[in-house]
Amino acid sequence: MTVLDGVTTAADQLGLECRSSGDGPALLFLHGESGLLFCESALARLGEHFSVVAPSHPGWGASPRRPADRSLDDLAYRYLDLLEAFDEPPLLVGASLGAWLALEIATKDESRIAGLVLVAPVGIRTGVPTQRYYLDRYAVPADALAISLYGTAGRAPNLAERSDQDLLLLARAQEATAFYTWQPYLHNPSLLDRLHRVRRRTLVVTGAQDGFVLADDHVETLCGALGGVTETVVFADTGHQVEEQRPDELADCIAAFARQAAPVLR
Amino acid sequence: MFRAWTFTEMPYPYLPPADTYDSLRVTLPSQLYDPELGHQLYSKYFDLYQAADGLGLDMMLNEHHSTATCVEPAISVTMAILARTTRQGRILALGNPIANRNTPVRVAEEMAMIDVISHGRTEVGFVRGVPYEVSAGNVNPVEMKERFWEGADLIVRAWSTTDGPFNWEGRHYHHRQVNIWPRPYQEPHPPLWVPTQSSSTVLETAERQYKLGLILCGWQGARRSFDLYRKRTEELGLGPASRDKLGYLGLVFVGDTDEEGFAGARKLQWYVQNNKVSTQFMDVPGYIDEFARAKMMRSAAEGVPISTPIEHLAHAPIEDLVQEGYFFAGSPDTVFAQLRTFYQKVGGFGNFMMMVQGGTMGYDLVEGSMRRFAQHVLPRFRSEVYGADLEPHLVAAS
Repeated sequence: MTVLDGVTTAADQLGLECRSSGDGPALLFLHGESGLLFCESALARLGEHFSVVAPSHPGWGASPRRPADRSLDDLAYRYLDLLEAFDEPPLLVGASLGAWLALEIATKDESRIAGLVLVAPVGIRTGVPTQRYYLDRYAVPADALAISLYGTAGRAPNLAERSDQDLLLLARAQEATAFYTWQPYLHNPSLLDRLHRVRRRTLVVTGAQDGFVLADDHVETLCGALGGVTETVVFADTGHQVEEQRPDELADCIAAFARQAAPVLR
Repeated sequence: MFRAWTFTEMPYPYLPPADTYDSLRVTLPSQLYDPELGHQLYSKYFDLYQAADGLGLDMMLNEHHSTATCVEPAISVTMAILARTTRQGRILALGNPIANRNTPVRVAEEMAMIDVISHGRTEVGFVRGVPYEVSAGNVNPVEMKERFWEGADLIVRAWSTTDGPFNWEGRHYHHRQVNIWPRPYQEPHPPLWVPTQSSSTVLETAERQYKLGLILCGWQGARRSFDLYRKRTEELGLGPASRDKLGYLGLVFVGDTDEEGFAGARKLQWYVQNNKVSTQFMDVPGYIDEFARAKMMRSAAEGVPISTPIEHLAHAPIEDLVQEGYFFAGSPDTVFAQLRTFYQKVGGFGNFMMMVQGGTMGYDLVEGSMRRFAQHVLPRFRSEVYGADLEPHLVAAS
């Protein structure tokens, strides 16, 4: 727990809300667009295998967005500071926008990262200007967005059951997402050319029913650009929100990846 | 002087049934637009403005994007045409959606050029823009307010700096050599306006002493915002807020008889009855604060539809809407009385913006209404109400 306390203190110094739980090798979890709101199960299951540190990015949860926080690139530098507080390099796990952030961090300095797990990653883009690479989440009805994210609308969280505080956190998360991802939409045009710098072993996990990432060759493009060994896992009957829909399988999958790759990771 | 501004949104009214499309904004395919009909419509609208100018009325224009409700996506183009084709009326942009355009220096250049062409008849409004146009402009809805005011400050600085280039490296805009040609005809620049419904923006508008334009908020909403503006002006030690700083937009039709006036007003109601917008374009993260959005999420989760004032305007009887100060309709005497009552209820104001045309309303119908207003309502109002009101307009009674 010494490690976690140290990281929590460092997060405080960086002005970030941070949740710490579990026991085992260190894991830094970078949440996606909805923040930590719907990640309770995933964090609990990961905590059975790892010492999990899960901050809220600036603008999400109780972490304020400073004037200097203007891009995922900016946030990556804040997390490089946080990584210095870990006694051992953690496994870096990111979901969707969090996976993009993990890649931004790793392209700058991967020396303090044991390995990468990218869950339904975004952050890159290829194709002609008229191609939609990611669904325009601001231009589709709520039901259509839910289907794209969860496979079917019925699997989306029932917001009527959520507290007013949770809805406020979700509103804040959506505003932060809009701020960081509006243009260029959900990607950094420079990132793809930088990915060869990421040589750490990387696991890419996606859902077979992900309707949010529209490019058919997205995972192949990403893995082809990374500089190290990559593995891919696809969960059937799962949308873009893998960590919400498959918390048990995801945690087991990440634990297995960490075990198999342990000599490499360490 | 009390000013009456004539206004049409230049709509394209030849629409299919509302149940055949999802939204009049953002997504309506332009194949539904017939350019030949569009040409005829533009001719009618510019003729109406020219008629208004001849009647001694002033002219107001606005800008919207990706919509049939207002086919006026470049306010500088329409203003420039009026700058050349009209002779005496003032030309008000209400407004330039500068937070959506992201080109403040270009806006400064366009407005300055129009001011020179029009011989100093230009008045310039800056509007933050409506939520469904962040898509049309692909502009980040977060920090829009800050971007709006930085853009306005940059434009005013561009107009006011006449001794060579200045540097602007702000949070949102970067220009190292701002030196616009021409400079405006009016010195140091045209009168400035902000149209808004937001209390915080009303206060910011008062702090800058721009003119305040309120749009279809009824007499109660107008009273509230005018009082905020007046109170803030007094708090700043700027004396009583002049009536010419305050403007209100209503829907106006003047007939020869009350019956004819109300019939015309019902035609005007087209504007508020044809405003279908998909929810996702109304509810944009960052456009409104997180607390208001959380409440909207609660309503949506519990199946409560989002209610907007537009729905009331679309469906309430015209008689009720007249009482509430949204519509001004009837014979010249009736409209005079309505305007006098409105003036008294809001504590006085100096600019009446009149939406005079909506839907398929033709030239003759609208020109007749404008003529009756210009000849039988406006002079009498200026004399008997505005000119006779000697109150200092310091702070309105609570």
